[in-house]
Amino acid sequence: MLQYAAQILDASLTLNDSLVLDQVFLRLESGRIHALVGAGGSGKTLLLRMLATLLQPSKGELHLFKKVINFRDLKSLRQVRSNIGVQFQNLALFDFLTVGQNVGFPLEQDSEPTKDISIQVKTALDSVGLDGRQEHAISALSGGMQRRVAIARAAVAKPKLLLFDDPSGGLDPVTTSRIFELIRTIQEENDNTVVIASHDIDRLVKLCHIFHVVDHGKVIFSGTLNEARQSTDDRVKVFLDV
Amino acid sequence: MSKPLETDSFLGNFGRTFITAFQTVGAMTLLQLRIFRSLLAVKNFDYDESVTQLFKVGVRSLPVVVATATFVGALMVIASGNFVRATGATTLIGWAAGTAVFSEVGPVLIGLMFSGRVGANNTAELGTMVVTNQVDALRVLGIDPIGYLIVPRFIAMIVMLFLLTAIGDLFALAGGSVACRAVLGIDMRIYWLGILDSNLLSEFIMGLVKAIFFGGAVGIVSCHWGLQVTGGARGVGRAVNDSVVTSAIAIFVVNFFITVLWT
Amino acid sequence: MKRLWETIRSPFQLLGRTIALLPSARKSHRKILESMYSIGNQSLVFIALTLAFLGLILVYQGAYQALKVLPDLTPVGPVFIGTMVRVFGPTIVALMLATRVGAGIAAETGSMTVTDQIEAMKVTNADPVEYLVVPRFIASIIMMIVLWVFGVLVAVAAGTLIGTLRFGIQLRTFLSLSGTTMSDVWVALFKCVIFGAAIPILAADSGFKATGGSEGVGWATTNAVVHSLFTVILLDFLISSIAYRFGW
Repeated sequence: MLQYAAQILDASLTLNDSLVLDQVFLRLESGRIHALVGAGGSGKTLLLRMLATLLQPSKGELHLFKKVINFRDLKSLRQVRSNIGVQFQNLALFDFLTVGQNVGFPLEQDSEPTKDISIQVKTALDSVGLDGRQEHAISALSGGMQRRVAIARAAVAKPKLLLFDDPSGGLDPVTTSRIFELIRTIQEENDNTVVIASHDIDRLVKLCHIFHVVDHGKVIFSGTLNEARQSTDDRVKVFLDV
Repeated sequence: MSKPLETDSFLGNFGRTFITAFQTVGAMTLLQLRIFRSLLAVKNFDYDESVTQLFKVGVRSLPVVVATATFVGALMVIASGNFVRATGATTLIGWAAGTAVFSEVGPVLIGLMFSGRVGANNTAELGTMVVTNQVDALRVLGIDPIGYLIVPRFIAMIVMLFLLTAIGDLFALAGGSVACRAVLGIDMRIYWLGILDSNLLSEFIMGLVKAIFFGGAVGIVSCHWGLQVTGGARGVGRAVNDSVVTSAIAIFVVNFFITVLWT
Repeated sequence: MKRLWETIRSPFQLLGRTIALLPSARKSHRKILESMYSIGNQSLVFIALTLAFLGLILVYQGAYQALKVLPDLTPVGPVFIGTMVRVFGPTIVALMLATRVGAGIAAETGSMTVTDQIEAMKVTNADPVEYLVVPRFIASIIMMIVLWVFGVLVAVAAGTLIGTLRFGIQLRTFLSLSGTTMSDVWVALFKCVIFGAAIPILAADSGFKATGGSEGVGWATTNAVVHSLFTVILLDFLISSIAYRFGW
């Protein structure tokens, strides 16, 4: 019996009078690495934000960890969010906090921390190769380093659902390889559910188990690469380069 | 320009503010000179751009200015209310409100509102242009940014603030008259008679002269801060902040000097 | 019309949430103090300059006009001080604060909004209102009162200079508190609290609505300044009217 970490059931979203997500059906199997691909403006980022509970569908339902999400129930929303980690496309690092404070931020919001926060921060920074930089300002870091800090912050609380929006955008090939390797390691160590939205098809193909193609606000394909090869939809073949 | 000392001590901040102030005044004077030079070489600026700026700048700020002026007029009447109540000199209400509005409160508050609405907007626009390299692009095309961008805005602001102050002054008087009746309980006729009786022409004109200088000040200040933006979104925000603050100081200082010189 | 309603409604919503979260402020002493220091630091010189010139102009105009209708200049000092405390002090200091601090808060929250830092806070279970708005709210109210006192002192000092030197009024005649009543002080304090509360709320509200990069931040800052300036004047009018009617 398949377990789903997240399900978006028949959800539509209207923003500024235009329909940006149209009756989307998306199911994310637990413990897998999912790829979310599609042209710019197709709705990938919107879907990621919806999975992160930052966007509420105008119609339809969002299920996370087998529960329907009620956006008005703030307590349960808090509970759910403590199990989600997000790496934003523009990183969204807090520029008024140090590297260490940024990575420790999700842990500080937990009212009963189980372990010493600085140890968890150290471990997280170590796994992205940035241990020792706790006191540095964000602005002192290069783009690639900042991205790694953002990933560390997303993963530090060991969330069950980990969302990456364009983890490798604008980075050189070597750094990109390291980042995708990092994502693989994080998933293997924690057995969480990972979603990566990216244009880097070559790397996604090597890393991800399940692929979802988004086009004009609709999910037109969900499945493995083999299933994609047998698809009759040309767009799927183009997006996944099969 | 060397970076001033990074110090958080109170005296250090004080000193740094002074240095920055002098640097800013110097830079703005240079900008003003460049504007004048551009103005003299009349063929340099784009009349269409001037007119569009004028329209954008003036019409959009009219509602806010009018509303502000009305309430300011009412406020002046209420503020004089205590004094009038104490001395029983109800007939002075019109004169007091009229003088205050025309010579001081009208131009200054309308000027402040103008700097917040139009000056800030101008700084933000120019700042965004700098950050997105549009100003550099103009230079590369051989177009002088001062003549093309700055001069039309400078002229538009002076003209518009002049008109807005004139209109605003009248609405302020109107607001005052309503407050006179509604809050102070004094007949509006006494108010208006008081105004007409006193010869406020000199005050009215002084107020308009102030408006011209305020418009120029807001123009230079907002353009200066807009042009020297660095650092993306945060830089633009900071520039708008600096622009409004500097405009306010300029307005108060210029206001004082014009009043003293005029009377 | 719908937009106007939304423009009025959202600051009130933010105000409601901020007040509801006030109890939690007990654990953010440091942030409140930092905010107070920052406000003071930013505004001190600015307020000193503007209020000094305000004092100069008020006394200058006041004395000049008084010479036309009054036998001597004895009332000028007391009336000036009373009006400064009750009317011009709170209002002008608030306008300056709206300009300096309001724009600053809008720029900060605006740039955080367009770079998704606010969303990052939400998803890590930090309430942006609790984290950003509440400390600044409290700090702003306290500093508004402090700066009002400071501003009045500066203006009176400047006014005294010009009153004595230019118009030859006796120092003791000028520096009289006979034109200032306790109710003047109470009304002024009340205004300070209201203004000090309104400015950061309007500024943060504008900041949270920013969209689209540096242009959005610029827009948010402009919006904040204009709304704050107008709201201060409007609130001043309302408070002054009510105070007058009740003879306060």
